[in-house]
Amino acid sequence: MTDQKKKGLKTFLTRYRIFTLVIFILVSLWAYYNYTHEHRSFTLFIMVFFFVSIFLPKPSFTLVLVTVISYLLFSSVSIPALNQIRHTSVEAVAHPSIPLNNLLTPDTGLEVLPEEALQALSMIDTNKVEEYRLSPSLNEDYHTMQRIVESAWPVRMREDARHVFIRAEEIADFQKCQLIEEKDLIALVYCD
Amino acid sequence: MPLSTVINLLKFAAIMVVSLAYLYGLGWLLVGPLLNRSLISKRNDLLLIQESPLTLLAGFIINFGILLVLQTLKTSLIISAVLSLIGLSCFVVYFFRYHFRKFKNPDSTNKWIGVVFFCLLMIGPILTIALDAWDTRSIWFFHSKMIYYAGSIGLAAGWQDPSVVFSQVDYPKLIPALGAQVMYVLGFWNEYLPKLSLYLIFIPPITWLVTFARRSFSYIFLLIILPFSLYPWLWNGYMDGLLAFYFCIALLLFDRYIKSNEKVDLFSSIACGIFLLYLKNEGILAFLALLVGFVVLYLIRNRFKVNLKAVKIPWHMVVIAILALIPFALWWIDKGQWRISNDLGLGQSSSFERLTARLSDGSLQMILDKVMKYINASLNLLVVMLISNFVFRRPFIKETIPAIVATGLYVLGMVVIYLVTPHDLVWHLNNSTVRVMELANGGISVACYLILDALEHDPVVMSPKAIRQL
Repeated sequence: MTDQKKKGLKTFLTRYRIFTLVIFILVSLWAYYNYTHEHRSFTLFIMVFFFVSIFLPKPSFTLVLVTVISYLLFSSVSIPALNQIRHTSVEAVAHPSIPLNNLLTPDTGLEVLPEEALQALSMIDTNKVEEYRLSPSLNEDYHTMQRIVESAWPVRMREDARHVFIRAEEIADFQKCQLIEEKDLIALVYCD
Repeated sequence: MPLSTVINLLKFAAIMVVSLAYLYGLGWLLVGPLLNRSLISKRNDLLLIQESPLTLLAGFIINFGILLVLQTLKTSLIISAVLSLIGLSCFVVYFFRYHFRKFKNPDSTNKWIGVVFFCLLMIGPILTIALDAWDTRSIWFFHSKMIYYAGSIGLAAGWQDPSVVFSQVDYPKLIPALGAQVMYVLGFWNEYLPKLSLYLIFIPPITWLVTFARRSFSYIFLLIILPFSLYPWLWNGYMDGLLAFYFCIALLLFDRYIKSNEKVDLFSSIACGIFLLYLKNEGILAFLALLVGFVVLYLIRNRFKVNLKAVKIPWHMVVIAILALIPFALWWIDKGQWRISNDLGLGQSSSFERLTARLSDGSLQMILDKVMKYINASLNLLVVMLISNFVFRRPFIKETIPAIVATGLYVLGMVVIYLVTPHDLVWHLNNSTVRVMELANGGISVACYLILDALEHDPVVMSPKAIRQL
């Protein structure tokens, strides 16, 4: 009985299986590193891949394909990408006039701007502002500052400009300046 | 469908057709002589689908070069349009003499259907979403807007204006300039149509990708992984996705050149490499890494014996490569004259001080952790592929060397850049690693594809008898 078991083990432990077992141990170390670095699902697939390989009598190309498919499903962003393509394409086909109007009409697409930038843009238009500066508080908020500068272009921000955009709550700090227009977030003042 | 929508659709189609024809005509002036040493005669038996992406790519570069020389949009567009008409006329003669009948070939037709299908797919995500992402608005298409309103790519655009310091004005201007040209011709600005430049630049690599088509699992893998895993950087207006896409296509074309020895693939591969210089500053690093990768493969294939006499480089190819690099050099000269410098301050003594300090203060570990976070998914797949190849006892696939070497060098270069960055390291890593590593992911994916393709077409792997002998 023991001899039979030994014979069975000897038959099982072919050169290929010993070789795969060594690789499995090495891959386990690599998988552990990945497991600790947030790539858990695909790590499990790698482990399963090599674990199953040990029990197979020969290398399996199907197993390679399964691993590649699992990579595409779990570790790549291809599926969300296809989803966005589907979403935007279906929308464009269902309502073609919207994207076509957006593409071929001046000044479309401003809706992506933050409210502060939209209010500043509206005041530039209404008051024919030719150059402006931002209050220190607005200037320090680089998110808002960049959005105002790029969306207001070609109207430029100048250090010595007399029109100043300030936050609505800063009006009291600019009492020496003349209030031109006030909205809920931004106000425009004129400072001599 | 309302009449106004139909009219808008026709207008949009006209803009697309005119843009493509304009760029194609310009490109043919360079690619015709490169491939055939003539604008109307043919010397190589090439398919139109092999020539077209290269021609468009050359069109982008010539168009940008003319703008840089003449500076103003109006003059450059007039001169370019005249040149484009000449090129287009020559191409029409060439097309009807040599390609018209071949075009009806079912294989060629199927591939063109594939190209059109992919291009139509990409209209949705690229052109129906407004300029929204951060760098898209603050850098790339802000530069486009500056050029558009000044009517010039020169100093009048406002590159030295103190209020635009945040906008990295030294960045390459090919895509912003193209966006500005489109809007200048139409006479208005909005936040959607400038992205047409992005869309046009997407067409050559997708055409090349389709030329690799065959009925195999590896090709399906390539098709899914290459454009789509670059989401969302391929269509949100950042240049990182396009940079990665062109880098990958350069590797794939070089691999095909190695296997088929078709010179058009070598020219196309080098053209994609050169084009990296026009997309982003990181393109310089990527281009150099690519060249080293190609040279390493050449040396390994020739067992490290270099016989310069055996390397015959046609003079006209050298001239055309130099011509293709002129606009890149011109932009650097302009930047130097206008004293526009890069925010990284590479090569300054302070950058060496930062390098030595960060090598010893634990920053390197932080950088490596961050880089690994974004590349180790694809690296995992590469490990599986390499070990699978090993388990099947197949020889190492040398064709993967350019992809592995170039990607490795690029990652190494980026690590060095992070080590010398004058910005707060944590801020810089958090804001850029995820996207600049897309190129590395792409390069690793190409290596995976090449191994998968080799295994899939290896009779030993696919034959049960041979494997049983293991």
